[in-house]
Amino acid sequence: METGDDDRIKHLIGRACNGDNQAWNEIIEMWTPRLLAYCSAKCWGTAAAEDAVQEAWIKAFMHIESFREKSGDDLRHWLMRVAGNESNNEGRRAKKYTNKSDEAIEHEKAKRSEGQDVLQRLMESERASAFEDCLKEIEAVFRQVIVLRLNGASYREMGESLGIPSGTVGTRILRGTKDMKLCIEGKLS
Amino acid sequence: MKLTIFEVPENNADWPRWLEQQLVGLEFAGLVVQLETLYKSQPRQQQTLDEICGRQLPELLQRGLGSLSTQQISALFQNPAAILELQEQVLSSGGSYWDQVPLSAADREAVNQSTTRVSQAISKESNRFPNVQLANSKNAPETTRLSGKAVATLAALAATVLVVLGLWSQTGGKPSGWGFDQPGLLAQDVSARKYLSNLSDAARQWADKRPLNAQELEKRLTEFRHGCDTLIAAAHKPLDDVDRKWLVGKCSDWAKEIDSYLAELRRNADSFSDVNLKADKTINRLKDALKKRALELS
Repeated sequence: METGDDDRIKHLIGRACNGDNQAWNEIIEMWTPRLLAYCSAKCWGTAAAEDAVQEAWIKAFMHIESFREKSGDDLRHWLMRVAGNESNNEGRRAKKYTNKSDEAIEHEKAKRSEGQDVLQRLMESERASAFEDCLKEIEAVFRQVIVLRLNGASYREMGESLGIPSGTVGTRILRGTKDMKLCIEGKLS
Repeated sequence: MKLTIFEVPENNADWPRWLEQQLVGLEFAGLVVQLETLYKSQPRQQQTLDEICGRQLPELLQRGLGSLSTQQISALFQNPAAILELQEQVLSSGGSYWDQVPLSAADREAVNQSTTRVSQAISKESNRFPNVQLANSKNAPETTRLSGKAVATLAALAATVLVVLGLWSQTGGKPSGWGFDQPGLLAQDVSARKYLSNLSDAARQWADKRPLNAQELEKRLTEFRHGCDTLIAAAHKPLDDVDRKWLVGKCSDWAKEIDSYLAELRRNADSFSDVNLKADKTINRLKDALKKRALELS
């Protein structure tokens, strides 16, 4: 990553090591957006992600001296790992009930890539279940419209494929979206 | 819950910019879940990030997704695990381009709040532990280092070393089930590219569990090191002679580096943070080397 000039970041880290709060603030402002996005993706919740990010920064504060002579990349990668780990813990705490043993979960996890593992955990959430249930409940043609759209089809192509006027495609999307919103709100309330 | 998949722009030319915003935004998990739910009951081509983006990846990390075609973005939509991996790479290794991608107003507000909260927390910690920096500083006087708290810490570390030494003898010779010892990792019926790519993914598991003290780090490193031995001894049938020699040679180099870290940790448990950082660096380097070699293979 080239988030700022590395010499500048090293200098900031040096100042942070000496207890300079302004330097801390600059580093925090530089990297918190990415850390928060990363953690939000892992635990699907801004509050939990914020906790994970804060925890990572506090650990960085406690270990900052180890990074005095290191590049900015070293600290940033370390922060990402710590924050990711905290988020994984948050995500596991929040996941839906499962009757699998910890051993079985770990065994399955070992067979998956990091992306697959995060995806699996996200899919076990209450919100994912609500979305899936609602998607099943709405009209099939709406699901087809969305799939065609995400496959890159234009409104005209979608209309041709579904045998409806292209003007109706937009209407279907609006109506389907409204139905989905109502359904999900109902399930999660 | 935001229904992100229904907000995909009508004009396909706007897709790259839209997806960039999702990757750095805070609603990304919702998008991924919605895509997976939608596509899991549909016929789709299972593809990895490498298969979808291939050699374009370094460019994407530096200059954004502008060069991706509609078909490639659609393939990403159909493979949410690949998008998750893309996001991780963008956030951890993406260039300054990605810091300029505009956030939605709500995300910007959340980021600002989080930044303020972290700054306040650090400021509080700074007041609580005004000597944290000095306590570790090379220039700090001995009397500062050996405060009551430091003595207690050293005693705890000494106890840790004893436990670690016992643990070392217990775990040194056993496969761990993760990293290069992951069951099924060395499948012989895959392409050379896939084989090396799988090894790179396996190395990534190092980051799944972060050691919090010297004892945990030693256990984790020992397990990873065992995996290097597994690789050195393996036949690597999917690889040709040149790649096989390259891999075994690299494994030997990495194993030596890890041995030196283990030795350092055993000599001085206080070096935990430093050794942890070095290990991260080595394992990141080896993961990247495997990925790069995989991408170079046709």
